[in-house]
Amino acid sequence: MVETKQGKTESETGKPEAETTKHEAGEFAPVPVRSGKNPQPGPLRRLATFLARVFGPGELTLGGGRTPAILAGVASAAAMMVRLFVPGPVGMGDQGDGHGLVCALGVSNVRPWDYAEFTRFIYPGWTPHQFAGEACGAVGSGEAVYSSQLAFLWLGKLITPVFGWGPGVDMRAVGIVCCLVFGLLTAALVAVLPGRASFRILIAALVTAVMADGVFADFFISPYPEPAAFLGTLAVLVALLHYWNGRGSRWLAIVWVVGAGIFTIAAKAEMVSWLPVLALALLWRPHVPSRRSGRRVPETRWWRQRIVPFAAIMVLAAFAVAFLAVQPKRTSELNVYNAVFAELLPNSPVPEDDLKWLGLDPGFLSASGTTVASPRSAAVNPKFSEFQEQVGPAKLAGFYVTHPERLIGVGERGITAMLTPELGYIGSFMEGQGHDPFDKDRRFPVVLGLFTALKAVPVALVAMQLLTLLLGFAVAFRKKSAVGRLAVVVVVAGWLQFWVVMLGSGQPEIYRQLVISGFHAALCVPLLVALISILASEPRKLMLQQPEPGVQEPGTSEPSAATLRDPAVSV
Amino acid sequence: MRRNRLTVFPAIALAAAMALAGCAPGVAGPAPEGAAKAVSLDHPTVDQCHVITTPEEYGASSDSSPAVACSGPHTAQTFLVTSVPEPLAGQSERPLHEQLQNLTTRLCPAAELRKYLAGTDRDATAGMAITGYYPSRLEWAAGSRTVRCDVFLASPGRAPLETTSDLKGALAGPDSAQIRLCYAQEIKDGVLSAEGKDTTCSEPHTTEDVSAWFGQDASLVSLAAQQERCLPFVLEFLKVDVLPAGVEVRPIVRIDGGARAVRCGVAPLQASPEPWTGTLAPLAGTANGGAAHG
Repeated sequence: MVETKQGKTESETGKPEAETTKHEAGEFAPVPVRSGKNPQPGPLRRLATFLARVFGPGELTLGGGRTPAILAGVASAAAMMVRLFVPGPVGMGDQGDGHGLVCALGVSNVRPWDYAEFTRFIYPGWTPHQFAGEACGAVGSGEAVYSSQLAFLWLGKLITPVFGWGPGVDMRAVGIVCCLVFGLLTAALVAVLPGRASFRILIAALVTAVMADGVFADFFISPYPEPAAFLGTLAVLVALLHYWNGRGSRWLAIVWVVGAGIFTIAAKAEMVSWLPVLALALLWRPHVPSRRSGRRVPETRWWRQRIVPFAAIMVLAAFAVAFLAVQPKRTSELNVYNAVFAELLPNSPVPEDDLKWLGLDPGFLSASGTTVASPRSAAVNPKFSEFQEQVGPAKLAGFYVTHPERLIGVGERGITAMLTPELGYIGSFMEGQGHDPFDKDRRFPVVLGLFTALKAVPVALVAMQLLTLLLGFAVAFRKKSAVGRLAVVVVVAGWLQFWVVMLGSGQPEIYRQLVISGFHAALCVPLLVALISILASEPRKLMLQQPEPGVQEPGTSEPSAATLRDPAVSV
Repeated sequence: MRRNRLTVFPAIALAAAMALAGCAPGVAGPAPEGAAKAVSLDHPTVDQCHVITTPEEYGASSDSSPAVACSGPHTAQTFLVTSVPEPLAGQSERPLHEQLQNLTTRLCPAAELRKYLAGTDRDATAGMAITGYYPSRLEWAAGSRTVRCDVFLASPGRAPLETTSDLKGALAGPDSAQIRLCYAQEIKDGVLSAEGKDTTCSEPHTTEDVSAWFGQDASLVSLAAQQERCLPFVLEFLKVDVLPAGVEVRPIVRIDGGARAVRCGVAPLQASPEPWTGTLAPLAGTANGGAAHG
């Protein structure tokens, strides 16, 4: 394929085109630019063109009418409710942890007495009950359990009587609250995404499809804190997009990020993994190229621009530290136990050497593979107090620093567990609905199907995340779109969450603990669609408006809230 | 105006998030251990009753619910008060929940409960559960090592049953049938099955247990051999020297994990076996002549 002089147009040759063609036809026919291809596009290409025209992002402009956002929010909330309540309610059975959190509302679960009985189905009803002492709180110690999920539980308690579900709190009402919040977040997502309305709605629909899978959605009707983690994560993503878009008040945008970040971190202790990601995200601040673009930013101005993000990071860090400080001591004791006896020793090729490294008696080897409640538990060992004195999170961290090869096995086991997100040991349906005990809800198993398929090649999951990360960087730097930054944040936050769970909580309940990492991994699908669409779209035609003099906020060099500008242009 | 409102909403959301995460007062929940409240070191005493109705209250390491009158509705009654032994007692921090649970089996033995119920070695109970309550973490730090051993009446589903009865000396009382172990055997063509299901004697049953069992070997295949082996225990149960005319020795077989055991039992002599209710155990200071009561 050679572009010859014959192919040049009239404007280039200075001759009429017809004349040129006639004169040179006898030597060789004009060669089309795309030689060897049918000038008529095929059906696939036409379909791709149609899809790109209808669902492509088009120009990466921001803003747009409120109608698409409202419609998307209402539709996603309705879809989630239908998915959870039709033909009958589905949820996540309680394996015993739910009480510690929900009892703070002064309620007690109406369920069978025996563990083997109440895990078979969901029992969403909680009736008023006054607990005394250690009966309310973390199982085994009664220490207070805190979570931002209490917000949804409290709202659910408010509306429970409206539906005739009694005077306490019904998890179905909490599920309705979660669906409404999800609808609100979807509307906000559509509002802050760049591109055409159809593109934004498509991405919101894909996020809804991820959330609607039973492995995530069923948590909405459960006493667990996971809904706050899921919805908090989405809120953080929306807030970060808004922050990076650079529209409106910068202060307000940062307050939204901090608020969403605090809510997310407060969902459960493992969510503190968001802290470094949020810090980096806040420092990766939106920047508008000024008239002096190209020049080096003065040192003092660099700091001045980052004072507010630094302050926000300090607030988040202080909250995270305070939140970790009030976590039940019992939880950290169990985590250390599980990290040693359920994870480290049973998977070690030299468990005796590991015990020696940890400074423990070889007799503890008999407790390898146990939980603290097992009959062979190390807790019944007379030297258990030695274990409590010798081993803590710092020592475990030291162990993995000096034995980094062990992390490979930990990672492999974690990925396998993450690709098994369905909790088969607890039921999804209410008793008397015609379902067998422990039956699982598979009304919309898109993520479950994807993860099950990936189990054949677990490395494909990591590959998918890496692809999302690389495309995210490409979109962030080449297309200057905040969606790229979002992809980077989702992948990195998912990885951090994964390792915090794997090294902090150990094997028991690993499937439930890794469900949030799985949520991050599943979000790679809508993100990949968005990233590929943006990269495949026409070159960026941003509607940049220079900041008008005199309307800048104090302490910033950014334009006022009313201006529409480049999303997340990076230096 | 709009700008002000937009600024206020995130602030409210932030405050709400912090409050709901437990960083502000007003959230219902258990008071933190460090709260400025007096540590109650009220010494629990035997014969106190409590109302414990949920699995979480039942399974907790400590119980701080107020005592109630045993003549009123209650679910738990304290049958023994003891102390945590060394070396656990020497720990500055309270041992783990699982360590305490393991300790309960030793500190609150069934033999002590039998004494409290005024039972003999031949009295077996059913539908009862034992649990131990320890000092709270704060009480432990303040030096308390007291252990409260409580007995519950339990439903077949293991949930505590509410009662107004005083369980002290209950096995010697007239209402002992509701806590005595009996067996319900199947009756087919007028013949009793060898095995039987556990029930309380206040429910229809076919045999009453006399708290004696032995492994079934080749010498104990026939019913007559089993009856002969069980006879001394039945006599001891009835507090008689000779088996009354209206009573028969009626052992059952219990197969557990492949192991076969003969459990000694007693029943009124019947022309054809039929379910009956009540107990043949004699009231305190008496001997039973063969009539069921309770």
